[in-house]
Amino acid sequence: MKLTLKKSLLLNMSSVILGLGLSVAALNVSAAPEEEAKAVTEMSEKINEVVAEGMNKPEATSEAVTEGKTEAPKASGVTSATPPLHDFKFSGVHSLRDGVALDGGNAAADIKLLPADSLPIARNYFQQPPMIPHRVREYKITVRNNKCMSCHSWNNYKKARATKVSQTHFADRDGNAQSTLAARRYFCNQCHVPQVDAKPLVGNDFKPVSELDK
Amino acid sequence: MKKLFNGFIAFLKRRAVMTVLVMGFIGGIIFWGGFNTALEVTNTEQFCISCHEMEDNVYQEYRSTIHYANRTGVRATCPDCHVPKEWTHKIYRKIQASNEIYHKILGTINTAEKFEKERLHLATNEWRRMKKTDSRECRNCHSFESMDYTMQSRRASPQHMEGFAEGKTCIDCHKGIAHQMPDTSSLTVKEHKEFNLD
Repeated sequence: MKLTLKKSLLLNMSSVILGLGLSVAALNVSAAPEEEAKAVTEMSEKINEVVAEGMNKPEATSEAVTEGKTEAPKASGVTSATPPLHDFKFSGVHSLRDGVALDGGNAAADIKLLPADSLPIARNYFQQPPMIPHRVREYKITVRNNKCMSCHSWNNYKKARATKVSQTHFADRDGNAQSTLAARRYFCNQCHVPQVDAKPLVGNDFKPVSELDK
Repeated sequence: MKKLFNGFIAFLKRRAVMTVLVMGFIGGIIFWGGFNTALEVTNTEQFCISCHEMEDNVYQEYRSTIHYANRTGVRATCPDCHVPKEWTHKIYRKIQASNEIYHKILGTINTAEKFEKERLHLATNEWRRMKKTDSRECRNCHSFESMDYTMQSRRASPQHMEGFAEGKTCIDCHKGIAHQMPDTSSLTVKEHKEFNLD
């Protein structure tokens, strides 16, 4: 639902931008000053019309714009029934406040609790960084110390029964191997993150690595 | 014998002796009570963070940890971890703390940079103290005996059992839980072993 709303908003915006661009073009094209002024008013009326159409059926926007482009320079006496731009009712478009009055507040979303420790999480797509299957509250990664390394370092992983940090993480960007974590790989949670049981906000068609065999 | 006892009673019945005894008794209550009250005042979080050295550095770090805010609302404040509960140990620690007043006057850690420079030194001091007392202050709340391993997570349960079997103490693993970890790379190999660091 939200997605479609956003899409239509985007289309509306694009049609407005297109319209503005056209009016600029019209300014450049017209030669005589009085004609110019006339053309501009007509143009803006036309744009309003086009934008209004785009509002109702977004898929027709590009078509309408092209039509407008061919007609606009010689269109005279065309009166638009649509109100000026600022009077439009953006039905179906909501602000982030989602219709909540300024002095009111909307209900807070549920807090997603991180699940307790679990087994390693299967990877969902090729080259996905492994996810963190445990809580990481208070595990600090600072310039002085990296808490993750107290279990995932090559020295400690066996004792901690943890996954050891990959060899690739010791190479700097020029491929030189180092004895400690490379600076660009130091902040583990830039890629590796814990997971909550949440519905994806945006759909995707990522496929696990086994799909490569097909 | 009886004569001696009667003599003692007669001695007590003298007004001066009585006065001295009563005054001593009342004075004792006042002074001892006052001493203990003053001691307790120095044993509060509010007292600890009345110095900016504590409030701006260690207190801010502690505020994001589970010992400050958690689901059950039990809070461990500064003295719960840093001052022993039993009287003799407490007095011993309080006398040691006079060194902290000395360094407060000297301004040893009165800027963030100076504090950062001393962080490792201060941390190792606390680690050593905790190790020496078998993490006594942790155990005021967390005791091995009351731990139910079955209630612990996949990672915690086996590690606790192994740790206890090896005779480890809380601080051996649980470092940097209330204040941020220092950079330990400058410690010697021996010290790394002593503090169970990787």
